Amino acid sequence: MDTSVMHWRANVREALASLAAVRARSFLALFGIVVGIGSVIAMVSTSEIVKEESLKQFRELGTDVLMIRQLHVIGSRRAMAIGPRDIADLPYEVPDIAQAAAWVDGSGEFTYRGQRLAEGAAFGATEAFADINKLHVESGRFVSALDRDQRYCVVGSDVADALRRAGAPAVVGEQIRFLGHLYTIVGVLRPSLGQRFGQPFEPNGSIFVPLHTMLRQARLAGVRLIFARMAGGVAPEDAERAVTAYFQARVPGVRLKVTSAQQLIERMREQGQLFTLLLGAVGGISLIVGGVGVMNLMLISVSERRGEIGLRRALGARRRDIRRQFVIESMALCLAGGALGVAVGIAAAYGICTFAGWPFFVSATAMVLGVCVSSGVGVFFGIYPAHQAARLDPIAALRT
Amino acid sequence: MIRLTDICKSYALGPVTVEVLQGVSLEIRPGDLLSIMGPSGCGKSTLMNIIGLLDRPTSGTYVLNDRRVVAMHDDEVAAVRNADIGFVFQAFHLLPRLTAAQNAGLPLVYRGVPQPEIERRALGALERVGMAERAAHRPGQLSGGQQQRVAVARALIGDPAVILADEPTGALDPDTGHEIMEMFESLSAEQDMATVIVTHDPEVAARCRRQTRIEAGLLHEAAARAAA
Repeated sequence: MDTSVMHWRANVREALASLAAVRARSFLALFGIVVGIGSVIAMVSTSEIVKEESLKQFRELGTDVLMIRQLHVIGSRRAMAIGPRDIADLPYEVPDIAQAAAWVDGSGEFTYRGQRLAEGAAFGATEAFADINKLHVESGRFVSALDRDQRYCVVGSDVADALRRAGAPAVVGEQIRFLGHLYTIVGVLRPSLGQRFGQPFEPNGSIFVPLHTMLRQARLAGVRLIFARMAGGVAPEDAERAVTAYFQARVPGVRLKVTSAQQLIERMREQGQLFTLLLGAVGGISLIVGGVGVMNLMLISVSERRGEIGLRRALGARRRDIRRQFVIESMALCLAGGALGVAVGIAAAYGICTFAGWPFFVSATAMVLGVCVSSGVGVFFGIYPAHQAARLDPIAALRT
Repeated sequence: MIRLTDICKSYALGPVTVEVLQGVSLEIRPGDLLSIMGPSGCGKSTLMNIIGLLDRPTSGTYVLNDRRVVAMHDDEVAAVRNADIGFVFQAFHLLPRLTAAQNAGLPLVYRGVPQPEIERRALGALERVGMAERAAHRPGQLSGGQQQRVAVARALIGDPAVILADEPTGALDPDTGHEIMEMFESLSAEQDMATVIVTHDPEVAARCRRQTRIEAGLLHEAAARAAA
């Protein structure tokens, strides 16, 4: 046991010394490994960063959300429309659902006393909408079901700021014009983060009006998109079934597509896996090319060092000692290339993230992967040359 | 201690079988200084390789320190070679990137000796061949004679039963060769170790206490001469 530890240490020392002796050639042979590991690391860290980014929005919204979309049916009649009542009743009729809110939006320009404030969107809102989308009122109140057809609205923080700049310091109580109608502001929202569930959503630059008002304004017969939050501990499939059954009973002939946050995450993960597979293939090919380069270098090294191999055998090295020496050399070579590759890959990932405006972090997985893969390549492509070295007849090897 | 009995060695060269050794018997005792001479291709090196456990005889028995080594497994043979055989070559065969001390210590690496002890013993071995001051030099910085001394230190370091020297003076000028031979003489006198020298050079052979010749596949020993 102790003996073999000594051997290993001696082997590693020897390997490093002999690599240092052929520095320039080693570096050239390593180029493939550096590129291979570098591209794998760059791609793995980038894809991890992207995944982290896209999962962030789900973490904010919660993974217990369902997206219910009415599929468009050609020639559908007015009777098939889902109304605000149907949505408001959903949590009461279906125990799997805790909250449900329509998603009805329109976009246009906000003006205040004839001054143009900004382009933005208006949403038809209910209390449930505020809850599901985590909107919080800073001053005043949110719109309520009791507002029915009233032209009231709650404004996002950016809209409120624009109003203050336009000379309306109180904001609440002022009137804002949107698509030709005046709305009285009843509340101002706290600033909130963007994007929701794949829907572009800028609450800070939007206004929120009662759902009824919104539907009437937009001349919509019904709601096409609904977000619902499931009750605790409910399986998405069960909720999906219950929701579909509920709407089919309320609105005969309606066709729905229900998607859970979990399904979306799953789909993203699948896409991520496909991406990873593709990256793996690209990185794998460059690693094979690099590995063949290393194998070539090692074969040259073995044939150049036949005398040394013969001598070592004469001094008492076993075949396995020789094999180990060359495998370790090849591993050390590839690890050196791997370390360089990790550095190059991380630098590349940093570049990509800076360019794309993503927050950069060093992926530990990528680094561990780089080290493991490069030593694996070293062993795999080192075995054949090492085997050749171990097989040499010491007498013939000494004669050269 | 080393007893070879009826050693035969033949090679298949295409359809022809070349019988190089045809029943060589030889006993080598501690303290022996023995030369092997003979024309080129007579089988000197083959015999040397067999004694050095680098080659196996086609038939015959070889007993080293009461162990029959012919039937041993490859790994065992390597261990015996490491423990009991010291090689000195015509071309020195020092590793160019290692220092003299590292070269001298190489056999101990395969014995699993801890590094500090290897260094200590390598210095001791270099001292015995008069190369202690050159311990940190690399072979390229040493003359041929100095390199051969380092190689002898490497052969000595493991306290082998026998040192096998294949034309140890062949690459050296006569004076340096003379020095190397003096070293072999004094080493074999002070040490419980046999030295076998394969040589073309009658002068080298003449300095050995036992002198043998290989002719027609057989080994002949000259009558023992009186200790000089």
